[in-house]
Amino acid sequence: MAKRRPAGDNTGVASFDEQIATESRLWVEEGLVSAEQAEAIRSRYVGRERSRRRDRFVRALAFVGAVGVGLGVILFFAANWDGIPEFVRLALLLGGIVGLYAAGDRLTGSRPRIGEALLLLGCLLFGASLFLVGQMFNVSTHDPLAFLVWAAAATAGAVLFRSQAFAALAVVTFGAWMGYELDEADIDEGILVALPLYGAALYAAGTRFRITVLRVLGAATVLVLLVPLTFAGVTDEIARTSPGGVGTALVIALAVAAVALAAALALDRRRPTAVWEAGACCAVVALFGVATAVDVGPLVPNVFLVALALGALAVGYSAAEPWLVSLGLVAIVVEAAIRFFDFFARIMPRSVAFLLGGALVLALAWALERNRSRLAGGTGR
Amino acid sequence: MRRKLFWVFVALQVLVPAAVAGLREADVAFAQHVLLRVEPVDPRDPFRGQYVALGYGISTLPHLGASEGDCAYVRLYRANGEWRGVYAGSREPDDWPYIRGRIEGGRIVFGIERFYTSEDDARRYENALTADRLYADVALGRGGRATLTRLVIRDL
Repeated sequence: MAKRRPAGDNTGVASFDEQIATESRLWVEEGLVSAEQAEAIRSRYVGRERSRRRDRFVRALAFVGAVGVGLGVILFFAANWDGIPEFVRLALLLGGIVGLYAAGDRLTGSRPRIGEALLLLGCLLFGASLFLVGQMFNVSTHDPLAFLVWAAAATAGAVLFRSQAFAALAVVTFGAWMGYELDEADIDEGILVALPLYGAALYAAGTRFRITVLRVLGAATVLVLLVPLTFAGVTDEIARTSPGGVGTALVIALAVAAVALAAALALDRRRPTAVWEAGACCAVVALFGVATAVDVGPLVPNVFLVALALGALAVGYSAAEPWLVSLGLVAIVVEAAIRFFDFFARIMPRSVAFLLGGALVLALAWALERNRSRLAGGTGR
Repeated sequence: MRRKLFWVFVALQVLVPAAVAGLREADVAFAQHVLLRVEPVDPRDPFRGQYVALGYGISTLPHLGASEGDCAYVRLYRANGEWRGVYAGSREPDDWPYIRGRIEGGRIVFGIERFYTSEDDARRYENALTADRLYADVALGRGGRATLTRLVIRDL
């Protein structure tokens, strides 16, 4: 028999299926409902959960299909581009944008997932058209500007359609604009500072305003871009780089935005972990701010990365957010693997290093999975 | 209201690329055209997948009073069917025609350093570039703004 837990205390990272299974079993044990009634309740919600999963699957399928069609169209044009007169190409691009938006809008009522996918495809084609028109007419503009215009369109779409997919596109294209702008200004090290600050701002904004996609992309950006700093020599490069006008302005603007959004998050009384999450965002700003001035060395970023990953695990468990738990888990496993091979692979035979490293990662995954199952209500799933 | 916003949203996304193309065509139609001799930036591989990387004789002119990041203007003179410059200044010349650029990495960049083309055409241009027969037809708009319209292979 599963370890008895008080009713309502089986949140953790359990799925709704898992939670309802545990709860209904407890209700039967406590004599609140009969076994038949519990089964009826379970099947009622299991059906709903299945429907939600199917909905997610359809959405994923629609997006994959939309992206596939988009790529196909772009590849077709790329292959036959030179044979088509310039103004016909332009008309095809613009007609494609209008057609996709109109079709997406029409289908939004009857087939919402397909409709949303077509709307997104319209925005993808708009972005592609900015670059293709530039090439067709040899327009000499500031290249990164296209990403900024694209990000503005995607943001407008996110607001207009209340679409997480458009929000994700806006986040990615705005990040691409920053990266391209810094690359054009020959400040590649600045990307390693600007994007984590951007990630912290996204996480704070997403958590405060309940936009999951911003949180996922923000947290992932911070954790991924912390990894390069954990290697010797990278922090020295960053500290020695003089970002200049564009880089400095961008980094300051992002740091201010991240701190302001973290402050807004800290004031959110509805979320018990808000203060901790806001603190983590400010800590990211502090770390990268200091790293631009002095060489912090690899130790501090290593400790910081582990602390952030553990924080993600703790917040994920506390707020019942499996994605955050998974992200923290992946970060810890990747960090452990990198450090293992970075330090120990040099002083022992490669086969032993791989054996020990693999065993270490497996043990870590086993321990964390066991903990997840326990929190899921003893269902062992 | 939402429908109106939706169509405004779509119309803006159609207008932006259309305006870029339209303004460029208007620039080219009403501008003065000059023929500039093209010089290779990277003689071994001028074709970068989608475009040919171009350099010009006027890209490496001495720049007087203009430093990194500043605008630079080159007054152009016609000689043997092509247009050349002597130096770049930081002030807009009184006499027309002139071309405007920006100093980047010690060179003057005019925004006409890429020509998008197919691989087959790129090969033709590469050969012409090697033979010193490649010229760029450049439209000069207001304030000396340059637009690359086409590449021209001239007979020797």
